[in-house]
This record gives sequence, C-alpha cells and structure tokens, in this order.
Amino acid sequence: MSQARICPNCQTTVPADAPEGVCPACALRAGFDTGEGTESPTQGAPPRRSQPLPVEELARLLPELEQFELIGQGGMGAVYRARHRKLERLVAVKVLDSALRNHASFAERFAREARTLAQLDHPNVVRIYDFGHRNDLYYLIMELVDGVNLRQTIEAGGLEPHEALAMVPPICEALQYAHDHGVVHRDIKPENILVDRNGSVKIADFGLAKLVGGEPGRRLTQTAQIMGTPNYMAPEQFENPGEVDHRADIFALGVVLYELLTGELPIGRFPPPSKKVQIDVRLDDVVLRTLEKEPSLRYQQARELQFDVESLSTGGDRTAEVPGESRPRSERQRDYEYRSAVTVFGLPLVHIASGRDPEGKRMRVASGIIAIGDVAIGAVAIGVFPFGGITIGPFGVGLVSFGGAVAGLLTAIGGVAVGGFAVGGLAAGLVALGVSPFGFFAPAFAVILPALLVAIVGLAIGAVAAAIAWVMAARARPARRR
Amino acid sequence: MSSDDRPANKGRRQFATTRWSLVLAAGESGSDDSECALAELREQYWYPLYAYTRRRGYDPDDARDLTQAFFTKLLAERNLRAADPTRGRFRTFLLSSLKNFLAGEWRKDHTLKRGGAFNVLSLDFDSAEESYRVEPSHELSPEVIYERRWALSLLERAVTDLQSQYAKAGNLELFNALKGFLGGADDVLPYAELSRRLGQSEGALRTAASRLRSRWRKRLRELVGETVRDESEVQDELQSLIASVDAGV
Repeated sequence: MSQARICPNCQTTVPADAPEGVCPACALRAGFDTGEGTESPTQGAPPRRSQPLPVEELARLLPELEQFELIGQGGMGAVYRARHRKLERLVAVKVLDSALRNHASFAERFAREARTLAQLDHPNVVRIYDFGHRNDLYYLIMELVDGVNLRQTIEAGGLEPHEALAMVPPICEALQYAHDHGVVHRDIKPENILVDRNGSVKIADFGLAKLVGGEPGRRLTQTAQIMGTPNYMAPEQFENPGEVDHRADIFALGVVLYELLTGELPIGRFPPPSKKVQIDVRLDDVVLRTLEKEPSLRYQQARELQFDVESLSTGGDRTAEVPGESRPRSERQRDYEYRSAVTVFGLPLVHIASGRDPEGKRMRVASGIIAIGDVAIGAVAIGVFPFGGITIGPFGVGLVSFGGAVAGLLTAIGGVAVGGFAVGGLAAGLVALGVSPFGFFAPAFAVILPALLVAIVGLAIGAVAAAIAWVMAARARPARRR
Repeated sequence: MSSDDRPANKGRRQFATTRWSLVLAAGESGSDDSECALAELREQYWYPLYAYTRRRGYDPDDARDLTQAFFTKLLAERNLRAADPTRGRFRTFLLSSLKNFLAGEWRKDHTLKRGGAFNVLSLDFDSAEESYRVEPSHELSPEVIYERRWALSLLERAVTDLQSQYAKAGNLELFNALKGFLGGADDVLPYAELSRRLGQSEGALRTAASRLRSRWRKRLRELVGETVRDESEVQDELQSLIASVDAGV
C-alpha cells in the first residue's frame, strides 16, 4: 500500500510522516478554489527542482567567466558568483533551472524577455549585463550586489520602523521605472530586495517570474512552485498568473512593508500595523491601501505610494486621498490620554484626555476625581466642557462653577452665570449679582462694578483653565504613539 | 505510513456546522453544539501542540502532562473568550494560548502530583511520542514544527475522511490506487497501468479521478473552514498551510 516516495506531481520527496503518502504541498494546493468545478488545477508537466550545476561544468560552458562559486539557489535556478575575464569584475550568474523550460517556444521567449530586462538601467535595479544559452543552459549575467537581502535582514532581527520606511522610496522608484518600461516584476519579496554595503537598495530578478513561469496557460500551482511562496502574491495572481499588471507589484510591496514593520504577514484578518508597532497611525492607511484585494482600490502607481510614504516620513502635512475617513493632522495631534494608576472609589485620581479615541470616532471624555480634558467629568473638572463638583472652564455645569457661561447648583461665577448664587455679566439665580441680574435678590446698578470685576475674573479663570488643559495635552503628546 | 495508529483517527463523530466562530461562541453560551465542536477540534489538533511542547525541550512525560493540563484548563475555564475575534484563526489562537500557558500557569501547577490532576482526557501519547521521533526536529523551531504538524494533521483528517467515504461505498481499492495523486495534474496519472491493475476502463478511471479530486477539494476546504471565521479566509489559510509544509522540507 505504500506509495512511491517521490510525488508524481512536483517530483519532490514525500515526507515520511505525510498521511497515506500524499504529498502535503500538492494536496493542499489542490484545495485552492479554481472556480471551475472538478477540473484539475494544473496543466502540463510541473517544474521540478534540480541540483545546481557543478562549478566545473559551468566553467566549461561559460569560458568568459572564472572563479565560480555557488551563492544561492531559489525556485528559478542557481546563482553563482564569478569573475568576468574581460570586464575584470565580479558578476552574478543566474542559471535557470532546466526543468522550467518545458515550453517549445522558450528559447525565443527567453531572448525577447531578457533583452527587455537588459535594457532596464536604474540605480535601484540589479543590472543585467548579458544573457544567452549554451547547449541547454540558459543564463543571465548580472550585477553582483555585495550585501544582504531583506529576508536575511528580517531573520537577523529586522528593521526599525523608520529604517523599513526608508526602504520604500527607492523600491518604489525602481518599480515605477520598470513599470514605465512595461516590465512588471511579479515576484517582489524580501529575498529579491537587496541592500548593498553602502545601504543602496537594489531589486533583483525583475520580470524573471514571467520569463520562467508566467506563460499563458500556466496555472497557479506551477507559478507558486516557481516563486516558492504565495505569501506575496496579489489575489489576482492566483486567479490568472499570466495576466497581472503592475499593481500586483504594489500589493507585494505592501506585504513586504507590512512584514518589515510588524514581523508578520498580513494574512486573513490582520490588524493595521500601528496596532503592532509604534508608528504613525496615518501609515495604516498607506499600508492597507497597498493591500487592497481589488487592484483598482490600491495605489495605481508606485510613485503615489512613494509620495505618501515620503511625506509621512518627513512629517509633511499631506496625506494622500486615502479611501475612508482621514482626519486632519492638526486634529489628530490633540489625541492624548493619561489615567493615573491611583484610584478612588473606582475612578482614577487624575484623568486627562483630549482629542478622539484611537478609531477617531468618539470624543475622549476625562472622568476621574480630578478630570482634565475637552470634556471633563469629576469632583474637580477642568476643561472646555467641565461637569461635576467644582468645575473650571468656559462651559461648565456643577455645584460650584467658574468660567465663561456656567451653571452652578450652589455657586456660578462667570460671564453668563446661572445658579443659586450667581455672579456675572448676565447672572440669574436666587442671589444674582451682575450687569443684568435676574433673581430674588438682584440689585442691578448698585453692584455693577464689583459684578463686572467678578465676571471678568470668571472669564479669565475659564480661559486659563482651558489653556492649561490644552497645554497639558500638547506637552504629553509624544506619549500618544504607543 | 505511521498514520494508522494516530489517535486522531479513532472514534470520530460528524457534526454539521462547526466553524471557529462557533467555537468562539462556546465561551459565551456553552451549548452542546459548541462543546462538541471544541472537543472535536481538540481531538483533531492536539498533536501539533504536543510536538510544539516537546520541541520546546520538555521530556515526553512533561510534554504529555502539559498538553493534558492545557486542554483541561482550556475546557474548564472556557477562556476562549480571550481569543481576539479579529484574528480568528483557531491555529494561532491555540498556539498563543499554549505559549501563555507554558510561560505562566505550568509553574504554578507543577507542585501538583504529576499527572494526578490532569488525567482527564485519553489522548494516545505513546503513539504521539513515536510520531514525534520522526519529526525533522533538529533544524526546525517549535513554531515551525507546530505549523507543519497542524497542516499534516488537517491533511490526515481529510484523507481518512475521504477514505472512509470510499470504504463505505466499497471503493477502497480505487481510493488507495488514486490517493497518491490527489494533488496532482491529470496527466501524471498512469492510467494505462491503473486500468490494468483495477480492471476498469481508462475513461472510467479518469472520471473517478476527477470525482475524487473534487471531493478532496470540498472536504479539505470544509476542514479548513472549521478553523477560520468564514469562507473568505479559507484561501488565505490554505496558503499559510502550504507555506508551513514547505518550510518543513
């Protein structure tokens, strides 16, 4: 009953612990919804991964190069470092996996695509110097980047958010340049983004995914096998790997950016990045927009993404026209909240709050024994709209209220005061003192001067209280980016 | 090959609508349905947790106790409410719960007599240990092992379900002949040879293979669907599973 150890589909060894000898990867891929009923999800012979060519063999086939050294192997083939005799410089040689060439027209297509790729000339794109084939061996001679790729960087501990963001503009420039030349990368992932010793960012393997995998008719399973991981593929790449446009690159870059920022992949219902790391909440909109499932909802050009990331990084004022609501920067700067650890009767001793809640929907309300905020409720409430025992602020309601337009059950002192004992310009109460007093005991002109004074003092107290609340909120602002 | 003795194969009940969301609801209502759902999911997926614990360096006895204790605690406390519904993957929820458990609770409970307080569930740890020994563990992190095991457990469940479906209909031989090609392209099937062996026409075999694949896809997606919040996440979860089995080879 035991099955062959080699999967008949992908030609890899089936792990010993795979149930019933079923190749796990292939069996799981078969679960993808092909949207066409019972049809098999694959067509044609699948690619298989072969052993890298020995360096001696390569040296024989490519005599213009010497000192070969295998430096990597991926889904598309092996990469060697070598020295170009005539150019007298080190180069990278990518030898395409022979199993990838299962199409009769491969040679012609290879020549055509490689010529296009060789014409890409941009500081952030790995240069292709030469290409060709000897016997059955297809190769590309490329610029050797002395550095690391982003996957290695992630594994070595990752990047700080500002470092991750600094990667985005050069990547976008490279993408925009290539897109303008009609080349879609199709396989943006951390492995293909290189950083050299000078810190320059360079993107490798432009267009190779199409060259080796994107022929019309090739289906998802094959493309995914070539690319290694489907994690960075845009949704439309699953549906129709042969016919994606440049917006698939923007999606993939969004996945990379999300991963760089949070250390996780944006799979399923993922939280916006600011929930995981300390970054500007406005970046959420930018990242989420790159990750829109529907291409037309994403950034339509790499340069738009670049523009937004740059203006956020430099603290610029412009936010792109992101879908959904986005609040003005000046308003968001006021978002702040402090709650003392000490509580009395279950309420915090001090609660300071201003601006809106993290979702930007509701006003924050300060409520504590001492409450300071735009809206404050407490035994002592200071703010624009204070409510409680003793309130200080322009529009207060309380037992004792000081401010501009106030109502106090016992005492109200302010420009417009209503209360048991009301003092103010316009005062109404059991006892009312002021310019225009209404009440049981309301001597008008006799006390105009003192009433005016009290009213002015009340207004001043209200203004000072509002200013204090504002300044405290503003000074504590850095703590907001938690 | 060593799968027949895996405990997850034993005593399986079928239940209708088991979604991760239903399990989440278990924290609220505790209805029979949701309890049944939870029990089933547990039976299905305890082995990845065991493998994770082992890989974290616990010896077989400790790993066994810990896995038991973890489930006991999970069931007793109904702390499923702690699951963040926005991140609704049963797989990630279980692992993070286990991590928390290993980090904190175990130390507290360790003073109890080993096994005495926990021996509630009958999980087949002996065969689990056998399975664990064949894990390619020397190079994989506990998390990778866990993810990989999760994917394989799910696959195994799907395979055995399909197998029993075919066995019931008396078509076990056909299933066994075709099962190695579940995920394959149509043209990799050696139809001529199979036709000789099974005494069926090639045309009939093609139809049978096509039907098997479509049943496979359906069952696989159902099982994945049970561990995510809704149908729209199945594709994503499949991708994650593929990535995790790829990581293991």
